[in-house]
Amino acid sequence: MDIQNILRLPLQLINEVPLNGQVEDIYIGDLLSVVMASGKEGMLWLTVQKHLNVIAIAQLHDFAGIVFVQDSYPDEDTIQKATELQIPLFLSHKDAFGTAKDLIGLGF
Amino acid sequence: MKKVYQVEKDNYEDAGKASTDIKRTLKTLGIERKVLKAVAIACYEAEINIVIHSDGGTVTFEIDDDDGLIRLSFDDIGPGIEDLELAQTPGYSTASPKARSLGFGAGMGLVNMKSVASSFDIRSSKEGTHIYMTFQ
Repeated sequence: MDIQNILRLPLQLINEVPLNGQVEDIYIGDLLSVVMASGKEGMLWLTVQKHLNVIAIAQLHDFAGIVFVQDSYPDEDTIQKATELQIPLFLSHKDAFGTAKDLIGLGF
Repeated sequence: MKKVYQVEKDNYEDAGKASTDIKRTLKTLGIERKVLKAVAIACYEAEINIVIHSDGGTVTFEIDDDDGLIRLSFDDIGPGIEDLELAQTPGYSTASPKARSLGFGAGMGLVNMKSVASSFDIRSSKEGTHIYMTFQ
């Protein structure tokens, strides 16, 4: 699915990056080693972790983007690094389950 | 080709820098995706372990120009792992509350490394921990 489509949901795009990637799948997780072991290219990652290291994981896996759920607004250096690497970051007011339900409704 | 990276204790901001640079290098060399992913996972986990558990150390990356064998060495300066067998049990972790609050310390680091590397060797004493992995 074209990543632009997820903006049809009540999500806020946090950083200014081109939205031209594809979302192949969704992954929910806050334990970084588990995400590291299970992540696949093109995933949209739902997490409450908001520090800089999430960007390293997203970069290593070539994730399509990150959705910070439950209003877990990322740190400034996280946003800066993601923008530099052109990784789209989104904010969701809902928790991971609520956001996932919305994404399923979109066709995932 | 050989590259050495310094990894600092408790520097969570820079954790993952060696892994991302190594992945970038391998991508430039046209290494196949499956190997790239294995190296990225193992390298990240070992790098994070140095940040969380040690007093600092190094990551050494080498790729053989002839057969393409990738070697990763991780050498830290202590305090070492008391019980190596226990440390390799899935879910076992001695990570600090700070590390856990950042999402680290799932107790899957060594497990993940072993599962993706072609070969895995670990030695530890009070002077430090040494991990050597190959990928092909």
